[in-house]
Amino acid sequence: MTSQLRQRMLIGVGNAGVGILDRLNIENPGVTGTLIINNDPESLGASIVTKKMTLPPGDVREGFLSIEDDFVKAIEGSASVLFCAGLGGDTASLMIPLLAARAKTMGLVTLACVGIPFGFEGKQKRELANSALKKLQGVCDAVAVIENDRLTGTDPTQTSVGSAFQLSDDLLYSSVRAVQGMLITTGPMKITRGDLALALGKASPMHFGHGRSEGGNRLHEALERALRSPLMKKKEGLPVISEAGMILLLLKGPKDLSFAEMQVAVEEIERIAGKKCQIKVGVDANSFSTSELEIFIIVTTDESEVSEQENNFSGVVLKDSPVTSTQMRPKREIANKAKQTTPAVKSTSATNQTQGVLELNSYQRGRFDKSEPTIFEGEDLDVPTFLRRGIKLVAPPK
Amino acid sequence: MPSDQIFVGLEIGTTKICVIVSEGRSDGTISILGVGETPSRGVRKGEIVDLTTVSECIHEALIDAEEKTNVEIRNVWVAISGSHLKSFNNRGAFMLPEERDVIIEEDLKTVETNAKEVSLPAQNIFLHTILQGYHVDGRRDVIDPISMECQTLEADFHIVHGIKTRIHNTLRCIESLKLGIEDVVLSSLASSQVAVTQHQKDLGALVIDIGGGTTDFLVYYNGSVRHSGVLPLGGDHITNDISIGLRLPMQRSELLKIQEGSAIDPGGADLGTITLKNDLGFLGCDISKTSLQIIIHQRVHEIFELVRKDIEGSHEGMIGMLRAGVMITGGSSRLRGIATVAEDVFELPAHLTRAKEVGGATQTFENPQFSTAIGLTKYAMAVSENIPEESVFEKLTKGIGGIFRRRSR
Repeated sequence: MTSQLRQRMLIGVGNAGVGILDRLNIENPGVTGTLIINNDPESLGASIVTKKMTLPPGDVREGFLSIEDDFVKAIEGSASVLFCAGLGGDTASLMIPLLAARAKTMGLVTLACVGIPFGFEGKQKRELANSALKKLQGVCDAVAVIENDRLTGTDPTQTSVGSAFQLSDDLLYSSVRAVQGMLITTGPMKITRGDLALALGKASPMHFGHGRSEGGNRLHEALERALRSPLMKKKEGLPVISEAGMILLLLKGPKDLSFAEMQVAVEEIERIAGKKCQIKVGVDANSFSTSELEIFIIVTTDESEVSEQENNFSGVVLKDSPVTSTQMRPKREIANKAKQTTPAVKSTSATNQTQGVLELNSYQRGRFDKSEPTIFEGEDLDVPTFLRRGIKLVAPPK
Repeated sequence: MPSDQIFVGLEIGTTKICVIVSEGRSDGTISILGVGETPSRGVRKGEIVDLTTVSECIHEALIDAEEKTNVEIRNVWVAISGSHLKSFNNRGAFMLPEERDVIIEEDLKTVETNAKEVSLPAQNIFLHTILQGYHVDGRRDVIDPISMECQTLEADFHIVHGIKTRIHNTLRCIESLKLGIEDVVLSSLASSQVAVTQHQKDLGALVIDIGGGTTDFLVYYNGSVRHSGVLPLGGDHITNDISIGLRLPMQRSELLKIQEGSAIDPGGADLGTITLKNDLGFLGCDISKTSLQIIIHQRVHEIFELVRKDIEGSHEGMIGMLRAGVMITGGSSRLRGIATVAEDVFELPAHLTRAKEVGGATQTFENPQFSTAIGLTKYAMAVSENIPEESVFEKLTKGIGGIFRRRSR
């Protein structure tokens, strides 16, 4: 009974939720405390998760009432519940807020990891997802949000639909494992539920990275992969970690995970993020079966980057017309450190070309564009110094 | 030391790969026999990113050196750089057993081993363990403690370490050419062998080797190495900044940097216009010389600021104690006005330097871009007597890399 009391329930709702829990069960045979809820009997029948609840077709409220008693029984005595789903569909979007509210009334720590659909999936779906998200944020202690539109990078025209959905699934799955991992860290250094709630509870979107590697260079490789995650960039493609206010760092690995590795990870993050950033570290080094090291990073920025309107930006994009690459491209924000602009120099018709307009409102890396950025105290040193410092250049005399 | 040995230094730089063949003379000096050189490809910010291409470049440089010197090259000393290389100072201590009160050679090795009893990240290995000084029962800065009576022997070391796989990749590149590797040496340690004099090391000096992809630096105080570091920033960044700021192709920017570039802060002055002529694939244009200087000044100033910050982060107040000032070498040290910027940032006298006390091909040692490779051969001569008979892979795996046990000079 004691172990039951300490159990942390992981609940997948809707098709995406079922998919995540299946994957979790495949990668971690014998995992306990999982439950799936869906109205699709085929999806439930094919799932390897043992605890299942079938929603009847029709009204969602009625569906909820039909499983409420079983649901309460299933989560009773748990320490926490973590819901996961892709929002946008009726089942997940309408059911999760009801389930979460019920769990909360039972005094449980209630969390959720949800995906927001791509803009091209339709305005209605986005609206449903955003409305569900709002309700969830009102109910849950913390909500991790994977915004699919941020996964396509700065140029959505270069991302195939298949790879975008795959990436979305991967990141939603990783985020579930990250939140779950952070909840269960038992080591000398752990992330508290308060930290998690504080990090996920901010208005800004969740910046999340996950990397894994094994072998002699596992720490650096895993860290590099985590930092390269598309969700670790802002829409402009800039690394968000340089503006981090708080970072949750979870190292999950084998028993031989060394103190030095943890130290290097923290130093590296601190070096990139700057010393003012608050870093909370959790270590889960209990695996006997693998030498693989996994790093999960959740970053929150001090300022709220995304306004209410921006949260719904895909709805605006899809208003009346089909999506075009231009419409999908995120708006370029003026980088905060180089807001000054120089007056444009009018071109002349002289034989010799005159130096062009010296715009200072964009970061550029030139020949280092494809190489690993040199980040120091939050600045990308590959970007010209004069641009980062907002120094004005002078145009040649005409 | 056997008379007239041949030493070969190999530097795999971001801009160029060069091989220096030197002759070590019995009087302790070295004479350069020749240099093989090829533009570098497959190296970014001092680290190898394309093994095959780099191997090809090394091969070209070796052939060039062999043709010029008529020496068949079989073994090389290799300089290594890259921002993964880190350093710290540590003290090792050893209490002599009760039955003995005189220090023997074995004790020196024991204190060194004890100093390395630190938990490096799993993927890192020791590259150098550079002796700073011995303490015999608390008496500081003993140069040679052997045969001294003592109860507790202590020694301070400057320890350099880096990521094993990155160091090994450099070695694999060379071994694929069936070349033997004598040892791997931190670039800045190599260049400081010839770029600063012993007197300057005793007074205290900051050696900055600013190359194409990296800026390597080393601090000497009281004759020994106190700090070292590598920034993944160099002349390539200056060229890139010019290219972006003035909207010029990279090659034209590089040429402009060399021909007209200056790191001096133009202040509010209008320095006029530079007219760039038409060239293949490039329409001529006018650019502002003031802008060019602003771009270069900003980058150079920032590089030096970062060096200063790095040193002060570990040794507060040390910069002010470096009486010999700042010694700048490396290919990018030829940039006009660079010493002035260094003086401004470090508030110390700054000098451009190159290989000194070297004989042979004048054009080679007068060029600061060869300081590292020449320094390698000087380093090789200094330590060649102490090299254990084992491969460099074995040494690095066992963490013995860095056989520079004698007091660093």
